[in-house]
Amino acid sequence: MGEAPGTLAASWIVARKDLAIEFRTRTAFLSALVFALLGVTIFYFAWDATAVAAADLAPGVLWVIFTFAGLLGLQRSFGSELADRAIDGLLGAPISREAIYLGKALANLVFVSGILAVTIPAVVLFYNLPFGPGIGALAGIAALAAVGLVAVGTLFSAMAVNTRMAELLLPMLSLPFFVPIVMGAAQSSARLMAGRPIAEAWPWLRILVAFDIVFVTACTLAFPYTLDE
Amino acid sequence: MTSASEPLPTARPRRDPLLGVAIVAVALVYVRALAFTPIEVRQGAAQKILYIHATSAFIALYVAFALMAIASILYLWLKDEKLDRVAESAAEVGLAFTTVVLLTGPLWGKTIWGAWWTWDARLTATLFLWFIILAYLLLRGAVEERGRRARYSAVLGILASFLVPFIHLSVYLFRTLHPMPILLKPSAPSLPNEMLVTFLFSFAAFTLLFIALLRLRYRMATLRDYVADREQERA
Amino acid sequence: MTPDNTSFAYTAYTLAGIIYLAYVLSLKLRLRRLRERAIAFDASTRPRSDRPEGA
Repeated sequence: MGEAPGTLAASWIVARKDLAIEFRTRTAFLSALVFALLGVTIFYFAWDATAVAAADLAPGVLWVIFTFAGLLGLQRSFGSELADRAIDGLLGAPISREAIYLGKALANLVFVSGILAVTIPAVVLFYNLPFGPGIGALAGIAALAAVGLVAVGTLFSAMAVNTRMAELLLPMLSLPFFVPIVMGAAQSSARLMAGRPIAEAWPWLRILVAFDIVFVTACTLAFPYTLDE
Repeated sequence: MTSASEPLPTARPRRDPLLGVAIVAVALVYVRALAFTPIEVRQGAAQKILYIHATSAFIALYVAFALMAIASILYLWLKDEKLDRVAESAAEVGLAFTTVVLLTGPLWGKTIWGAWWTWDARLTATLFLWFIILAYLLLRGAVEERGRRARYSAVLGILASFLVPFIHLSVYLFRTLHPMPILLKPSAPSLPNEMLVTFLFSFAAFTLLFIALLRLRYRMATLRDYVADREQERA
Repeated sequence: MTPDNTSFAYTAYTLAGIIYLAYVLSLKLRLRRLRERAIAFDASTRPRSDRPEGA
């Protein structure tokens, strides 16, 4: 074989491997999807629909569900590795540690995006959202939010999976970090879907973008320290 | 790993006078603040809560949390176990201070603002500081191998030091863009001398307390690691 | 009219005092337990003089 693949190429290889494993069984994806859809529905019954318009509720519901479905998806990311110490194989390969992180994060991103691709239309449907240009913007915001969630979540699931209480630890570590994401996503999407000018949503989008830049960088740099060697 | 040349931690029951001094100092601040500092006319006696609330807050955020973050960075760079013990000690003592801040704050807020809690930038950031330090300590509890525990904690500590300012800024933005009901903000144009002195005394006393607690906690960590090492050697 | 909220002040000071004191006590207790464990450990390994290297 020729020289070792560069970081981006290596990330793609890692991501493809992860996704191939994932989609062979599809169980995790379908479970997270069902969870998201059920959550969206249950939230509807938790409010007095006559007091609060469904369209006003929708952003809050969407981003809360996004958070918890995202956590479900993150759990599976390292669980499969731990099962047969497959990570040792990855570490032995001639790819950089950062590539492993980016690859896993990419796989998680595809996973979370898949869930969002179904959940967002569901929210539009169930909450009677106006079908305007705001919906397109929603997809963009969702992409930004997903990047932030996956950046932080991939790092923490790498740490949590090596502990005794992984399922509890991952949410506890990640949720404080999700707060700026949820804030930025919810506030900007609420404004855009209500048809307000983009200038009003812009400060919130800036928070989201800033978060993504800062934490993708920080987590990529920090990831090698979570490995045992 | 304690080397053979260092005195055994067990052979050291010497009392650290600093803790006693710190406790006495804090007690003196209590007496001075409650009995010998004038009551602020507009806020009433509850204003005195600030003497312990504000100083605890400052120490929790700018001393304890900062120390935890710096020790974490230095640990990842230098790999010295002592730094990890400093970080964990700063975190735990910081948690105690932050708890006091979060309990005394609402008691003051209720009298001044009429509300136990508001989601303004500073309160929210402090609340999340509390959550993050708790998560840090729970993470440490969940990882048994010492090197890994130190590395994981250091990563979380460093990321947390990015997050807290981020939350502060986000919530600040949240508040300024939302027209909020005007809350009564007590203005403090100039602090009368006696109050200023009380604040300074309080600051000195609580700093002493922090240092004393930090040292005690650090000593506990050293002893714990020593015992763990010996038990492992024997096993 | 100065509001009468001294009860708030006393509650706050008391709570703070309790928390700090409780933490001091918890530290001292944990330290003492560790010391006992360490001493017991050292005592149980000392009589073994057949070990070539020092403890």
